[in-house]
Amino acid sequence: MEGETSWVSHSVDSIVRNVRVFDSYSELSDEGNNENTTVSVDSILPDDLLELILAYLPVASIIRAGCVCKRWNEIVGSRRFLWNLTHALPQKPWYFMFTSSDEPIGYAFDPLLRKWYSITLPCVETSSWSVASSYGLVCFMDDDSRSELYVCNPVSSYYRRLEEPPGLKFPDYSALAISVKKESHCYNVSVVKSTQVQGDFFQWELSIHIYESETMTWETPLVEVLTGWRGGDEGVICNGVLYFLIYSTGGGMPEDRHGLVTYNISGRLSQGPLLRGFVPMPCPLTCGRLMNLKEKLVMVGGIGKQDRPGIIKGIGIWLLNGKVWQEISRMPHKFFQGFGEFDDVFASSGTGDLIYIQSYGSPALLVFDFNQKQWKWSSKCPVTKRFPLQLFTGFSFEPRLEIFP
Amino acid sequence: MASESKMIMLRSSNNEVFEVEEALAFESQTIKHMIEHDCADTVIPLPKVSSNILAKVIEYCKKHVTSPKDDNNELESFDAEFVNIDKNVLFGLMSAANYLNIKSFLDLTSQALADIIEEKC
Repeated sequence: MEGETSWVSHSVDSIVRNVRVFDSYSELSDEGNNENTTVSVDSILPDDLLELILAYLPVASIIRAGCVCKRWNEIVGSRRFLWNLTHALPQKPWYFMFTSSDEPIGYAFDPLLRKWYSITLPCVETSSWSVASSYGLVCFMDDDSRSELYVCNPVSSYYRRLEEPPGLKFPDYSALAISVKKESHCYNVSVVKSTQVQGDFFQWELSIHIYESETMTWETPLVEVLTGWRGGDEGVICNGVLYFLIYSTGGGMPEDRHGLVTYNISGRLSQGPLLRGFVPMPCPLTCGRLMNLKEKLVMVGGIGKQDRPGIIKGIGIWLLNGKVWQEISRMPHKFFQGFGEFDDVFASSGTGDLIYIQSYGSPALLVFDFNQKQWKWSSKCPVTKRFPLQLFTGFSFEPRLEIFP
Repeated sequence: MASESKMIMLRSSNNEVFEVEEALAFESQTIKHMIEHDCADTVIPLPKVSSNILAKVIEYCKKHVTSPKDDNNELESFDAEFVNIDKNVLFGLMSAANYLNIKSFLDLTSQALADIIEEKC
């Protein structure tokens, strides 16, 4: 790709500027330190071997390694090094927490090193923008007209603005999702817009718009009017299938307040009405959060009381097997209480093996390891609640140096 | 049951000759390539690998070739102990793993060196 060489050579400087990592390596590169310094490591190894070793470091350490000295900086910023990273094992996902509602600033939690890094996000203006992420890229959509979309790499800060999606502006609801193809680094972005049909409470027009990064164009493969249901803000793409939550607009039983529908974005042939593939919820939910964990659809849901479904009594995690939900875990009571107050809605995001859960009312962050089925608090976020109504939210993403939007 | 296994001779940089079974030698893609393409005679010269490094490489390959496939825990503890050595020797092993193209050994030694860098800082 033309221009990529200049991107690569500047990428490390950009990364270093963007991710302010505490405890820099560079203090230890002075001469005269004890013999076991990075400099002595450095002097024995030729570049090609050093390059191989640095690729095994956690992403934050690779960034710091780029600050040690000119030689390491050149290695880390080299095209070949970045290309090799595509074959390295995926890193554990970070969680970015907005620490202000009006500015795109916050801290990212690194579960590998258990540290928080101060980051300024490109493109996004406030924490109420929609966010979706896949394979190191994060997509942002404005919270107003829903026509400003950006795809960026939050670690390197490189971003691209997408063409405006078709369809009505200022929809009542919209769900954003992104999916990156690992081999080609091409991606699809999907926006599901829902707007109430004029004068009719029960009828909602729902449209699906898909962006293809290769052709840089949007298509609208589906427009449908639903009766008794509307789309919302939750959607995710797994294995070429778009999953999104729909919400009942009629009365109905508590278990029927939410539902899941699917759309095959790689198929694109006429797939029949959306509700044909309807998947009910496993129990009454106060809210649901969808995520892609290694191409499996996982939902984190607030469990509502049977008689008062708007009141949350716990949090559960389910995996979708075909059309059936398999319960993976329930948040143990001590963690549920550990948040203090839990609203019926909360923030939750996950990718790879980790699920992050956060109450809007506090910067406490809980981590569920999907592999080990273990719950654990993150290390303490360096941010405290400054006023009673302050809200916190965030999203998870895989930190990858080598992917460009 | 031991079938008649072909033996390969490897000569280190300081001219010491090691005799190993073919299956073991083939852990190294470099050696495998040389033998399959008839690039070597009876003895394969490895001018970039010294005797003590080569001995350790052979020890690693032997353990990995002869261990039962499902005994991951044992292999894991063997690997962890194996790289718990002086970092200069570790450099030598990694360099040899790269030259001989033994992927699992290269991953192991590279990760161990990355861990050392991580710890020091």
